[in-house]
Amino acid sequence: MLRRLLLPVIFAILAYGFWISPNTKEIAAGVAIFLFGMLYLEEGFRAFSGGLLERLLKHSTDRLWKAVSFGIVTTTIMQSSSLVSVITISFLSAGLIGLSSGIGIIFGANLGTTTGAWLVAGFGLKVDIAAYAMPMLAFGIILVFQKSKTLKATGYALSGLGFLFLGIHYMKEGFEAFRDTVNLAEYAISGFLGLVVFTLIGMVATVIMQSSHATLVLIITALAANQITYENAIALAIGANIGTTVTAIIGSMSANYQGKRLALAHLIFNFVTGAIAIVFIAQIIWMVTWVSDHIGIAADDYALKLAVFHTIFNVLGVVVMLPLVHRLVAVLNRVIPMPRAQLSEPKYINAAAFDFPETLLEAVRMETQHLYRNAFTIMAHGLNLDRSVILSDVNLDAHVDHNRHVFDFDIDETYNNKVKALHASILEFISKAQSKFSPDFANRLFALRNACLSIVSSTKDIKHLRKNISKYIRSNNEDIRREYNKLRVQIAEVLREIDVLEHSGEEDRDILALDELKVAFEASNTFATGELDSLIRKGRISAGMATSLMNDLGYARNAIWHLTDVATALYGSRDSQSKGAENLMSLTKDEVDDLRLDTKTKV
Amino acid sequence: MKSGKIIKYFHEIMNQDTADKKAALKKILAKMKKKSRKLKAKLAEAKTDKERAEIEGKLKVNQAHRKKGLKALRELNDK
Repeated sequence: MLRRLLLPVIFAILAYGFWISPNTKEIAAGVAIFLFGMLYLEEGFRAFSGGLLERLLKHSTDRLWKAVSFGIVTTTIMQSSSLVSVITISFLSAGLIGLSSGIGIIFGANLGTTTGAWLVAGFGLKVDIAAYAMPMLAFGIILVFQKSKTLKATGYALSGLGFLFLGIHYMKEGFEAFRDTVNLAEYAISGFLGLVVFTLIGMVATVIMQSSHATLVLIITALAANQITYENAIALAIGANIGTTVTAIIGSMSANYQGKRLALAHLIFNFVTGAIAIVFIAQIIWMVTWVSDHIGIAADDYALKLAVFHTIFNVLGVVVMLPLVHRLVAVLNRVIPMPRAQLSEPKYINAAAFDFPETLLEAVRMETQHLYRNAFTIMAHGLNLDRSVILSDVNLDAHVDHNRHVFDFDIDETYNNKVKALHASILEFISKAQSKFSPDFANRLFALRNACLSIVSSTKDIKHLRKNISKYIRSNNEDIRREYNKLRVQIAEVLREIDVLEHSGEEDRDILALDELKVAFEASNTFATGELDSLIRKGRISAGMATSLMNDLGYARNAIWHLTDVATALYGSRDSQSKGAENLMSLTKDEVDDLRLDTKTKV
Repeated sequence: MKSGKIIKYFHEIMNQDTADKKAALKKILAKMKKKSRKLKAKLAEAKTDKERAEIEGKLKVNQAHRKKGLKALRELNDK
């Protein structure tokens, strides 16, 4: 109800403003152009970074001080704390960074955003900024229409900056002209009441414009035109800082519980910072005056003084909150607990991951691993083996010889609940994602989709095997029991090898070792080696047992090949050239068969 | 000799993609060679026939990988 009313209310206020004074059109247009500039700038950096930002984020945020520095630098360059917040929430939702790193980045982003005030107060108001804006726009828009991704992204960034400057110019001009008709300074409220009222106005303005940057520019240009008092401008700046948390909260709505925790951390940080500023306002103003005197800012340059205030009050907030990060994380973990995850629900893929291709790919990769872990349990129990046995160093041959326990579970129901449902969610997500990005990205996404299909196929193969495995491992016929135990061991060895690959460092992984297991399977394939005929001829196994075994050898082979495909997709080299080299050297089916003929069977 | 090296250097810059492929292949081949040495050392220490058969199987696979890799590298060098 409130959302539906918001737009008409905003339009009504604007229309009233235009009616009171035509000059408000210039100010409103200035704000609109400024916001448009921010969108273009975000678009430029989003396209330009092409994974660089995400890679930097992964490697630059393992310590708190690095996370804070990352937040400061990226926000200063991009002039948008919203973009940094969105990236951070995406990464956090996908499980790629921890909550304390995410909080560090948000703290840093808050500090980085203060450079915007310096840019406007120190440069924007003192020069003819439109003279810089116009050539930027001209060149930028031409670049936007180019086919090259780099040129297009540069165009977006350049024209975004141009629109930003143009917006500041119109706001400046608008307030200058506005002064002749309406003097907003007459509505100034001094004292504590003024502090509270204007803080609330700053919050509301930022919520409406969804940008603390835009609000701050508006405040600075109004202050420079003496439309508001310095005291009230300070209160507006405090309100803008608090209001900006609404962007993070809206962004977290499509995120998982981690994203929501980060948004709450952002809200707490900004509220605490705002509260400190309100309570110690006199002391902070004194500090601003002292700093301004010492760095040569004129006593009546209130725009620059506001920039100093903005910096000091954000620095104070970080200084107070940084030592409390771990306590804050503990509170957030308690207030927003991790939901009891249904094994069949996706953990990593959610709408927040759609914003950046590398984040999305990583989220899909992790969800594929999640699918594999669910399938692994089903496959292990389908082979009548405990997960812990497969994942240990236990001699599998010896274990199956002495262990004839059959797991009692409904494999079809478990498969439907834990694998099929999750697979469907991943497929749906991939289908929505593939159209959003480049063909190269789509190919990488399809490779993961095929890995998911291989996981499902190998699980189904073991589902087929289960009935006869459960029957024949308890048979009194030693030969058939031996053959089925062999199948269990060979599949379990592949599962074990995949676990080794998962836990090895990227440099130590030997993906080609999977070919050894394929060759070993084929070399001991009773049907292929003719041993099965010998067993039937000698009456050691019945014809019925033989047909079961022949079919099941086929299912086992398929399961092994599908599992090796999964391992290659998930744990093969990420670098395209290394991946190409691995694919080149891996053995084809014919080459595996040729080697089978040369290799002695395992006795 | 010097001019030959310079020509080779510029040739590689112009064919960066081929150079990257060769580098990737060489890296994996070096890894496979190291693995081959380790397997041969393990074979020398093998105590049972089963163990020996297993290691010999792995060696055969390793040799097949290296053969394929070397063939691909030769083809890239001839380009």
